[in-house]
Order: sequence, then C-alpha cells, then structure tokens
Amino acid sequence: MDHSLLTSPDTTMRTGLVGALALLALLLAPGAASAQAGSLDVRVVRIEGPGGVRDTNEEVVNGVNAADCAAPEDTEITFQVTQGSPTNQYDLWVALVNDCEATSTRSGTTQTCFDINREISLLETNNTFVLTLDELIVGTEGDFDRNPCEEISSPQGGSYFLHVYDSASSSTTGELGSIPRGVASIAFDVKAPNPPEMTSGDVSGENVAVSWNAGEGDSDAMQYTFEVYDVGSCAAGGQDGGGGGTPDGGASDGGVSGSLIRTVSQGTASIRIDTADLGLGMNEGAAIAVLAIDPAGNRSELSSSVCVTNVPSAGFCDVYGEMGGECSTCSVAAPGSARGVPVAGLAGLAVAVGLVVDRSRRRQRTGRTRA
Amino acid sequence: MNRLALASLALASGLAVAAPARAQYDEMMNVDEERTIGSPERFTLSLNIGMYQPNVGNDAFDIIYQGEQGPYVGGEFHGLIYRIPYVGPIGLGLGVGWARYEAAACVDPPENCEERTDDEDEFSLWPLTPMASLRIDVLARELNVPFVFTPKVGMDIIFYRNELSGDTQASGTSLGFRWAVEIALELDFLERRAARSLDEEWGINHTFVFFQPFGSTAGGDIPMGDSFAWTAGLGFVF
Repeated sequence: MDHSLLTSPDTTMRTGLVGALALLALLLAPGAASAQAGSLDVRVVRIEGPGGVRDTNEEVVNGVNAADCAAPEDTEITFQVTQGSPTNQYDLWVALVNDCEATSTRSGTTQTCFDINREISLLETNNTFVLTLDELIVGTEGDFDRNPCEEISSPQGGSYFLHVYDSASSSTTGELGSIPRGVASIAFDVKAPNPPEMTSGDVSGENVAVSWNAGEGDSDAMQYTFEVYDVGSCAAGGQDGGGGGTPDGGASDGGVSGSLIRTVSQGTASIRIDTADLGLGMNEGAAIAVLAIDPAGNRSELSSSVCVTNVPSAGFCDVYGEMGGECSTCSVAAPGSARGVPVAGLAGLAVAVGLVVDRSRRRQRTGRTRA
Repeated sequence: MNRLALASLALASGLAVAAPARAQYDEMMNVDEERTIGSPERFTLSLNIGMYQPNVGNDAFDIIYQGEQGPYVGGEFHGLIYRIPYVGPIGLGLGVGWARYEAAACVDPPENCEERTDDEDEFSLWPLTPMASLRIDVLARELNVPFVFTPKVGMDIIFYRNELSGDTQASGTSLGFRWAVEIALELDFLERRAARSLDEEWGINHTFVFFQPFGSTAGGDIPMGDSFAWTAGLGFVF
C-alpha cells in the first residue's frame, strides 16, 4: 500500500486552510489591484459662473445653481486631483451615479456613464483642471439621464459625478483593471425657493416692522438669505406696485426690478424700515417685497408686496411733553450720585445683612457646641 | 437726595439695633425649635406677579398705553434678623421687579391718540427696593391659624426706559418710599408631615401663598410711583 497516497486528517485540514486562503486572496484581488493602482482623490475646489463665485468648502458643497445652468458655457468648475501627475493624460466620464466600474455602465444599452470626450492634463502648480459646465453636460435637451441641470430638480438638490481615469486612452471602455481612477461629486441645486409670504400687512409710521415667512413647502427656510426691495410706489391702504418682480419703476438688481433696501442674514424673517430712508414724503407710500435666496444661490420670485407709508408718529414722550412733562435720556445719573443708584448704600446693606447672618450662625454653632 | 439720605439712615439704624439683639433672637428661635421641631427660620424668598401702573403726573401714560397695568413680576429676599417674642421676626431684604407696557404710537400730532401708526412704543421699568419687614406670624405659631401678616417699608429705586420703534426716548431713575402689606396663607396645614419632611430635607420651614397690596411714591423727572398696586405669589421661609 502506498502510504504516500493516504492523507492524514492533519494534512486534509492544512490543505483546506491553504485553499480557503487562496480563495480569499482571489476574492480580494480586484480590490487590492485597485488599491495598488492608486485611487485618485478628485474634488471640486471652485465654481465660478453667473450664480456667483464659490471657492470655500462650505460654498462648494452647495454646488451649481440655476443661474449657472442657465449659462453653462460661462460657468467654470475647477477640479483638483491631489494624487495626480501633471505629466499624465486623464480621460473624463460623467454620470448621475457614483459607480462606473462595470464595463456595462460605460457601453451598450445599459450605459449610465458617458465619455465627455475630453482628455486633460493637470496644471503643474496645484494639480487642477478646469471644465465649463457646458463641457460636463453631455446630453441635449430631454436627455434627462445625462443633464444634471434638468434631472436634479428636487428642492434638496443632488449630485453629478465626474469619473477621472489616469489613462492614455481617449475612451476608457472595457475592464478598468489597474487604471488609477477617482470620482468627484459635483453638487447641483437648481430649484429656486418659493417666494416668501408676507406676514405683515400694510404698515404706517416712521420706523416700522415688516415680516415674512419662507414660501410654502420650503422646509429649510432658516438657511435662506432674504433680500428686501422697494418695488415702487403705493397709496396708503393699497399698493400700485405688485410683487412677482413687476413693480413700477426702480432700478434693476439681479433680474429683479426694484431698489434693494437690505439683505437679511440667514434665520431672520423681519426688518425695521425707516421710512425716511426710502425717501418718502409725508403720507407717501412704498411697496416692499422680499425674495429668498437658498444656500446654493438660487433666487425666488419676489413675494407679494406690502405698502409702507410714511406717517409721523408720536410716542409716550411726545404726549408727555405736550402735557407739560419732559423726557430725558440723561436722567440715569452715575452710580452713587444724587439721582443715580445709591450703589454704596446697597452694597453696605448687603454687607450688613451678610455680617448679621454670619454672626447668627456662629452663635448658633457655639451654642450647640456648649450644649 | 434728602429722601435717599433719610432712607439710608433708617436702614443703618435698623441694622444697628438688630445686631446686638441677635442673641435674644437665637434664644427665641431655640424655644420655637423645640415647639415646632423645625430648623431655624433665617430667610424668606418670594416670587410674585401682579399689576402696576405708574402715575407719571399726567394722562400721557393712560393715553398711550390705554390703562395697561403690566403685568408686574418680581421677587423678594429677606434675611430674618431678630424675632420679637410673640410677634414675629424682623427682616431686612431686597425686592426686584419688572414691568413692561407696549402700544402702537399715535399719529403726530396726537390729539388724544385717536389714530395710531404701526410704530411700537414700549415702556419698561425695573424697581429695586431695599426694605425692612415685620413678619407677624404669632397666629400661625401660637394658635395654629395659618395666616401671616407682613408689613414692609423701603426705598423704591425704579429704573425706567421708554423706546419708540427701538430708539430710546427717555430713561432714568425714579426714587421714593415703598410700602407693602403681605397677607400670607401658610400651606403647612394641608400636609403637616410633608411640610416637616421639606424642612428636614431642604430646610424649608414654611411654604406660603400671598396677596400683597403695595404702593410707591417714586418721583423724579418722570414719576414712576403707583399709589396702589398689588402682587400675588408663592413664598418660602427657610
């Protein structure tokens, strides 16, 4: 009997273990290859277009807005590839999905990732490259799966992805293998907020409050910035100038006809308006409307307007003065002075009370000790 | 100034009399401790809410604020320094308060303020009142009738400010005499065991509700006194 052909339980176990390890190595191989190939760290560092300049992390994450989408050829997006090399060529693909690993996602009828037909080199100074939004949008109108400006329409926005392959090929189809690659997420928020709703009615006075709420359905109103406009004249009790960006007269600002009175910071939904600052004569009125700007810079339509009328006001001091009294803002005298707070007296009283209390406690303690 | 000096003098005299009498107070307290089996009564603290309308010397306040009376909220803290046998403890303390009045401004000229604008007119006052009190608790201690009467006198220092649409129109200090009578109902009788437990665990001898009529003669550029006002609230002796 050839004993060499026989296997002991020990040997069987060892063989099984080796097999399992080999299988594990095989399973891990693609990932390991990918890691070995070096994943690229690609990210958006600047967006500049009609929607504004965004070059801080906080601004960039708010992404591309509707104004940028309206003029994609004028909107530049700067990407940075931190592990890239300026001597290499990079092939660029875009997708509404983060995953373009499988061959089927880059070709055929199931294709979800699209070659933008641009091979770029990195700038030597900071490993960046610039694309216009126009270059990133590979679809035409109606090609919803290729056009983030049309496809990403939820109020919260969404992401579009730029896949970067360190490949000399002008079109990286087929297995990616060991090609170094990375993906940059480009935020898109192209839905404008709803127009704010005015909560104050027509008001009159010299320094009056106007307030509003965010438009219906806008849940993240605390994140909005508001712009308050003088959108034209109005008569007391009703305005001539209407909302919706169609007032009678005034300068134009960002597509809104009217004079910007003030920009109100996030989380604030009211302002006081000094009617003198509006240049109103006695009993003249101005129509005031508000628009909302979301964090991505999308601007709502103007709200309906309210009429602010310049009417002189008399407060308590005016009435008091008419009746022979006299108001003064100087009657708070310095502490300790004749008409001021008798601080010394109060402090003395506090000290005296403290001493009495302290003494009584000591006596009590002494009494208890004696007892 | 004279009133201020007199009031300070009165308080100082009170303190001078109170300190040497402390020993007698302690003796009395020990007697009371034996009787009520409670911890010594050293302080009172009360929180209150009520009505207050300053009499500014003419009808301006009524015209603008249309008879508004606050509310007035406040609190008082007294140290009990001497117990008069079969009467109750004398206390020295400090009261603080706050009241705010708000109305739409009148169209100028006011002419009895028949028309109003949307400008906001606000009047705020903050009284600070050092005072002396006599807490007459003999009924509660000797006869188990849970009423305590506390007459108080002190000096009102009332800080005030008037604003029209956020711009200060007037501010200042008004000084005068304050009187008050606190009529308190001690709540110990509701649950004597719980009251004793409160004393043992927290040192709170008595809990009481009270009604307190008071008045002030505070004068100055704009007088802030009110000849008759009231507050009600909850207090503790500890």
